[in-house]
Amino acid sequence: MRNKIKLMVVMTGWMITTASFGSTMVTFEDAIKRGLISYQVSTDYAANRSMELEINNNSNNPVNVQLEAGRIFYATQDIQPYVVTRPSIIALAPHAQDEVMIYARCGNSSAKSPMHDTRFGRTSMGPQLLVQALTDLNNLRINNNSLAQQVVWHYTNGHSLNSIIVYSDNEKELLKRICDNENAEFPWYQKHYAPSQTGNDLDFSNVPTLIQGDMQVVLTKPTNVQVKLYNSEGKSVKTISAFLNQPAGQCTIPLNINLSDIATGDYKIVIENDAGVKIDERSIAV
Amino acid sequence: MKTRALIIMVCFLICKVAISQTPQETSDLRILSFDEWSAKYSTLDDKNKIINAVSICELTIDGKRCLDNPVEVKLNADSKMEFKNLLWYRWDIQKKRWVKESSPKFRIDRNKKNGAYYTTINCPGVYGFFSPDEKLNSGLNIIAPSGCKILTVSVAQKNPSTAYNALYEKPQSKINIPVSDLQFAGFIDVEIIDKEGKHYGLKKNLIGAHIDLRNGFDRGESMNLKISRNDLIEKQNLSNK
Repeated sequence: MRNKIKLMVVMTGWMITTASFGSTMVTFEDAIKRGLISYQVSTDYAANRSMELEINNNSNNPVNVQLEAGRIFYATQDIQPYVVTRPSIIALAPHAQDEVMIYARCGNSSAKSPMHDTRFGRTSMGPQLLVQALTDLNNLRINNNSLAQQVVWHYTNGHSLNSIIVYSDNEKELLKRICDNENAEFPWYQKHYAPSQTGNDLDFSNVPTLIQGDMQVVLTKPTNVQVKLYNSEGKSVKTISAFLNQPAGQCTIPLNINLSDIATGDYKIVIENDAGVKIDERSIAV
Repeated sequence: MKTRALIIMVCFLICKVAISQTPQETSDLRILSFDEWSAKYSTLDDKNKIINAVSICELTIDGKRCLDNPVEVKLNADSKMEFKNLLWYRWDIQKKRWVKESSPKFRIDRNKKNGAYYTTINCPGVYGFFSPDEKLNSGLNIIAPSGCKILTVSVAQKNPSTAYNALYEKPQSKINIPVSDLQFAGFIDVEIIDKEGKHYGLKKNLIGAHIDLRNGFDRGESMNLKISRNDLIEKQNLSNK
C-alpha cells in the first residue's frame, strides 16, 4: 500500500515537471522588458470581458505570460484606460499569436469608455493598493463586474469608499480588507449611483440616487424617533423617516435616502426624539 | 452685433445662476403630543364613529404640493400591545373628520415577537394610526341645567386615546357625543350659556368627578351626564377684558 502511494506521488511529480518543461513563466512586465512579447489591445463590446488582447510570442521558446490584476492599458486618446481585474496566464507556443479576452474595467470615470476604434499604447502596473484590492477580490472568488468597477474607480478617481456597494459576506470582507489597507473606517453607508444613460456599465453617470445604511442608537426609554436631514448650515431640510413607539434599548435605524430631490452637498443625518432632542448624528456627502 | 452677443451672454449667466440657486424644498414631519392633537382633532371617522388614536403626526412641506420621495413611517407594535388591525387615516379639513387612507402594511419580525406597521406620507397634512372602537354603544348624553344651553364640548382621554371637540352653532339643551369608553381620569369641559348670556364652564374637569363609572357602559346603552348649576363656574367674558 505504502509503495503504491509512493509511486503515485512520483508519477504526479513527473507529470507536473513534464507539463511545464520548456515553458517559461514570466510576468507581463518582464515579458515586455525582455522583448519576449508584443501586444495590441482592442475592445469587444459583445463580450462581458470587453478588453481583447492580441499577444505575440516573439521568442523561439514557449512562454507562459502572467497578466497581473491591476495592470493598466492606457488609451492614446482621452478615453478611459483598461484596468485588468482578473489575472490570467496566457500560454504561447514559439512565435505564436493569440487573441484573448481579458476581464478588465475602465480606469477613469470622468472620461468616455473605449470604443471599437480606440487605440491603446503604453501599459504599467496600477498603484499598489489597487493591485492589492484586486488580488483580494480574486482571492475571495468574487465575480461581480460592478463591484470590480467601483473598486477601480475608488483608486483611479478617488471615489469614496461609500461608493463601493457590497452585499454578500465575501464582498463585505473585501471592503473590510480595502479599509484595513487604507487605515480607513468601514463606511457606515453606501452611496448608489444611477446606471449610465449610455447603457454601458463602463461609463460613470455621476448621478447619485440612493444612500443606504444603518445607524445604531441606544434609547433609554420607549420613544418616537425621527430621522432628519440637516444641511451644512444646520437647517432641517427634510424628514426621512419616523419610527413610532420605538422600544428602549439598542436599536438599528435603517436608512434609505432617495437622493433625487436632494441637492449636492454635505449633510448631517440626525436622529431625534419627538421632542426634537438629538439622539445621534452622522455626516453624509450627497 | 456686440450688443446682441452681450445680451445672450448675460441671459445665459442669469439662467445658469437661477438654475444653480433653485431653493431646495424642505419638509418636516412632526409627531403630535396627545395634548396637542386632542385639543384640535376629534377622533371621529367620516361615518361619525369614534376611533382610537395610537399615534398622530403632521407633515409640512415648504415648496411644492407633495413630495416625490415620501416620508417613511414605521410603527412598532409588540405582542403585548393591542395594536391589531390598525388603520391609517388622514385628517380631512373640510369634513373635520378622519378619512381612511390605504391600509398600512404589517410585518412580523423573524422572532415573531414583534411586528410593525409601515406606511408612507407624500402630501402635507395630519395623519394617524387608529384602531377601531369595538364598544358600540350610544355614547354620552350631556344635559344642561334648566334655562341653559351647551355651546362647546371637549372630551380627551388616553389609553385608548380619544378626543371629541364640538362647537354648536345653535346652542342645545341636550347633546349626545359618540364617546364610548369613558375613563375616570379623562378630561371633560362643557361651555354653557344661560338666558342672560353669561358663560359657564365645569368647575372640575375630571370625567370621574361627574359620572359614576363603576358599573361601566353596556353595549347599546348610553350614559347621562346631567349638569347642575353647582357644577359650573362662571367664565370671564373675554370681550370685557
